[in-house]
Amino acid sequence: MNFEGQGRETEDVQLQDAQVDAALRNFRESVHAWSGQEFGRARVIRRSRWDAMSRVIARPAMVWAMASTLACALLVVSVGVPVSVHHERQVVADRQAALDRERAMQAEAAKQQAAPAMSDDELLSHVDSDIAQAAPDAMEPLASLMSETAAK
Amino acid sequence: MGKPAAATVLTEDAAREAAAQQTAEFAEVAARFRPQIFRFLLASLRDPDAAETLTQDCLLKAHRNWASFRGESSVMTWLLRIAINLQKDHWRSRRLQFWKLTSTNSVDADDASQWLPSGESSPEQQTVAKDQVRQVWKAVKGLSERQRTVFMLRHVEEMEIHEIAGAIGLSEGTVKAHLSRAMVRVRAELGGKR
Repeated sequence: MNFEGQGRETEDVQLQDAQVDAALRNFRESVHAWSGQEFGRARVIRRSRWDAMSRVIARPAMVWAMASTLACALLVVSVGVPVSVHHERQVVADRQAALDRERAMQAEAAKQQAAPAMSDDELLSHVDSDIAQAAPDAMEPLASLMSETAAK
Repeated sequence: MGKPAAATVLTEDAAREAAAQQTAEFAEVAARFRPQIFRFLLASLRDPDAAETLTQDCLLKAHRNWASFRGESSVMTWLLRIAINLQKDHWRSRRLQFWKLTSTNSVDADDASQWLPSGESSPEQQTVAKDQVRQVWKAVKGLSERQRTVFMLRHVEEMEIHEIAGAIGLSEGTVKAHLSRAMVRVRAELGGKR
């Protein structure tokens, strides 16, 4: 009984091994048949639009062209923007200066208009003071004599 | 003054002749081993277009390095090593470009099992064989990349363990371990106990 059981188990294992071997043989032959058929078949390689585009982009000439374009764009941005900003500031400063100049001129004109009036007053007061100084005190007695002579 | 110029011409001629000889030699090697490389890549990738592309890449790489091949291993082992590395790169890039998974040309395991050798067998035997092939493909699909490579080299290319070890760059013990794990999976799929 024991020997019979062991024998049956061995037979089962052998059967399974044979099945596995047969499956592996069939698998191998299947792959060989498939490969043989595919190997001889003319194949059209399909590429997606993105693949085609990436291949075009990957070309050295295209890479150089793109790199130089990018460099130019960077140069324009890095130089052009500060120049433009500086120019704008310059224009604003010029306008401000012109405005300041105009204001200064207006102030000067107003000052000049006000200046003659001041000088007339000063002149009158100066003349008054001059006249006042033109009659010296030493002439006072002579004046009174002249008036007496004229009375005779 | 004339002698060095003549020597230079001779050296150039010799170099050109050697290059032509190498090219002819490699053309022969490529024609001989190309079907086997294609088969290994097709079985590994289940994608005929990718297998064709990688076969070409493999031969191109081999051609570039043909002068440095010293013959320490067999030519087939060397070519398979290149193919295995290319296959690894392919899987890696596919994993990174995950959106491409949807547009893959991989053949389904059921479709791959449709190919059968045109032997003289009955329709019943063919059905059984087809079913077995399908089950093996199903098991292969669940294997890790390395297990699958070892399994394909052993059971499709019928290479010896030491040849597989040379091609993959692993020790024989490691190759045996990978193969054993792969076989456990295949047996389980086929309904075996071991």
